[in-house]
Amino acid sequence: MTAITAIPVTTPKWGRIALSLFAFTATLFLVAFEQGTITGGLPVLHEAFHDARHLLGFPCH
Amino acid sequence: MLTDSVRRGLAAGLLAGLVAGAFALLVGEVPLGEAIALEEQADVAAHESAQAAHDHDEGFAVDRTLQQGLLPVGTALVGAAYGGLFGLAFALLAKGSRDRWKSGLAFGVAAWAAVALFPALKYPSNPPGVGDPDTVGSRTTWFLISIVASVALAVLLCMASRRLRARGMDDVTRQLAIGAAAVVLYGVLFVAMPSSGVAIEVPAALLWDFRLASMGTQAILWLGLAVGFAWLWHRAALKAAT
Repeated sequence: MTAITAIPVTTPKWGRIALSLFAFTATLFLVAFEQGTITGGLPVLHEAFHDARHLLGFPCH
Repeated sequence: MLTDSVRRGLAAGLLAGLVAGAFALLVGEVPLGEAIALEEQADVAAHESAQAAHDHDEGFAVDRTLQQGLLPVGTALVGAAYGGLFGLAFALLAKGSRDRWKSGLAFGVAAWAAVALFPALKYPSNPPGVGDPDTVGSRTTWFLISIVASVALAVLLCMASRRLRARGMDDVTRQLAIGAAAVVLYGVLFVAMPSSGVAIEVPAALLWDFRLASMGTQAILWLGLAVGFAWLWHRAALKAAT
């Protein structure tokens, strides 16, 4: 029983950490690095965030 | 502590990203626009007809006006994402901190130096038209490696510093030792990583203006994030005290 009661206390914390880590890195990837693979070859995200990529120092072309 | 820290990081990062975006629009768009004009001139010269350049323009999915409009959106999103990661790291690393205003500021300056400044010095940003599109993959990889390596080095130095303090070394000796180690190790890292190998064909003055604007945008984003984050912690501490 102790194992069962321990789970709800620890899992949400690490689950939330993992989930937020994923959300933040995914946002960074989409805004700063994605080169068109997701949008079927046409670099839509690359062009949408073109100026931000250049001025934040990410390699763009 | 954890949720509060992430929430404060997100808020400070979003706001700092918007301010950085405003700076980028006002200052950074000037050399960026000049570089695009030069690139288009070179395109016209290469194709020897205006029609070719026109066709090239139509290949864009997002036009220039929208690209400029999305600039602060992009910096705000990047700011929020960095802010969230920053809040998460702060909650895990600075648990024992008593003065969160001071430790938030110190952590923010360190994060700026490790995540933005060192990579920007090793692999400086380039305006549009610079850089061979065929090598963007390897340049992105090395850019990421430079971030990961400089963050790892900062974490190692921080751990070493804590261990020396736990052993009872006095503050001045410890800070001199860690500072000297930081200078040597970052110097070695800088020299050890390969250069980007990008051929620069834009005027030097334009390149300087662009890189200055780019480093300014990043400094505003990171230092704004640090100040906003530390201030939110400070405000919460004041509220808790009353």
